[in-house]
Amino acid sequence: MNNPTDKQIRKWLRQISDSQQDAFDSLFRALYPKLVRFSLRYTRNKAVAADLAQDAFVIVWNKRREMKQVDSPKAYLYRIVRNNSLNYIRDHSSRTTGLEAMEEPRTEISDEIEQDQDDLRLQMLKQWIGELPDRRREAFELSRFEGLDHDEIAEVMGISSNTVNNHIVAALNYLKECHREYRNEANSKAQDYD
Amino acid sequence: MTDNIGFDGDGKSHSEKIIEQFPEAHREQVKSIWEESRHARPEQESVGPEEVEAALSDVRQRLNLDEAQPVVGGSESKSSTGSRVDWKWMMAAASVLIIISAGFLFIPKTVEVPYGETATVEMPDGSVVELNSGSELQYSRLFSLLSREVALNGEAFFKVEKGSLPFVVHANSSVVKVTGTRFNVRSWKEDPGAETEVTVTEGSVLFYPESREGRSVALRPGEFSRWADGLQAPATPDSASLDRVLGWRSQSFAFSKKPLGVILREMERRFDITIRLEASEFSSERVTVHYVNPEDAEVILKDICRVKGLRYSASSDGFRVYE
Repeated sequence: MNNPTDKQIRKWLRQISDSQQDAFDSLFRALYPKLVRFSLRYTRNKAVAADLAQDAFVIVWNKRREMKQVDSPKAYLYRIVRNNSLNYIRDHSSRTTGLEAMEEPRTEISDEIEQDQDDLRLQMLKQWIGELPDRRREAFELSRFEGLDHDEIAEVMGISSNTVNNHIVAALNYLKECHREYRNEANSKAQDYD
Repeated sequence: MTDNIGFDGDGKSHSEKIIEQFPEAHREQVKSIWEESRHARPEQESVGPEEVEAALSDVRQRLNLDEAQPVVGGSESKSSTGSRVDWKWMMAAASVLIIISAGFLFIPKTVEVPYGETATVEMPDGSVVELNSGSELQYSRLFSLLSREVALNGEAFFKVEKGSLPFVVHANSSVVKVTGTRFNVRSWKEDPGAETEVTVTEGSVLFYPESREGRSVALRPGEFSRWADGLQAPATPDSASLDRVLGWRSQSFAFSKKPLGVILREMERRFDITIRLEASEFSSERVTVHYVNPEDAEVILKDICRVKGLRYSASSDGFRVYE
């Protein structure tokens, strides 16, 4: 069975290529928030992210006649937003270069507050994902947060599908190791109490 | 136990293919990290519905989309200097045609939205109806000539053009009557009591049971009311959470204190899957959920099961949920 959202997006794109404005509105409502958040990961500036996401939709409408031939409309939009976001940080930042701007602020975890075990694990997971090398993290996030498949990620990042797979497997491997270490530590702490 | 996670037609899901690349002993742990990492998105500013609408109107302006698209067409007139015509024969044919097409005019038009999709219908009077997955809208081919009436089973958002004829929505024995406005109607025959819920975003509407027009309530922007078979009159209008009610239009999935059975049915329609609730006593338990653009049904199901102490597993066409 297809991912229904993909099916829906393809249908909208077909209608958009016939200049149906309602389909354009629907596509916009569905993907705009995602694309703004995606761009924020690079630009860290909401106004800029919003502009870049809007630009992508302007391009889609202006090139609507060619949209029929696009393999994955979703990947197409993400690619435009990614490229423009990278261009933006290249042109507008003196301190940082390239993907360093993606650096994640560390999540602080206080020991005092008793957190739900699940919650804590999720916090740790966020931190470990933040520690991944940039490209590896980018591929992993596109897969987990944006729901793109290997081929779509390959198209967005301009790399081969094989490389995408390697990135994702390596990322998972790293997260697994972090988790193992974390669990061992927690266990030894628990034993100290006994 | 099945361990089929995703829905890629070719047997193995995307997730399985990745997890298979790990040694057997690690797979379970990797799988749980893989699943959980979907929720590990760093906290970010969210983009609210008003922001989306404002941005959309900016983009439409940039593209000069505000005026309606001109209708392309026009008849190609061909001068016919053809042969002589047998008028009697022509008249007979014409009257048969008239009778057939008159009959045809009384067959209502029906729009049915497939599961997993939404649809937008432009009515002959310029009103626009957005339909949620699985909904059905029916109207006369003479719509807007004699009356403006539609029948709905499902959920729809109406943008009604102003007009001299009232625009009337019949929804499972209840009626919503308006002149020109925007509102949402949710009315599934299969929901308990075939409850109808009406929420207004612009203008005002009259809402009443089909059999008791006198017991109508007037709804103003930001208000909602509901009625189910057996009630004397619709509930007193209350303020609505518009984000939640209109979320389906932007692929969100949000419900406040709705019976689990109703939410699972909605998931079936949205994601085009089948969910078997084996723990049937949970069907009327109330649940609140709010997801912005959920990736798939499992994201939602997982959380619901965690909260309600239920378990689920994948089946060939969806999921089964049990205690």
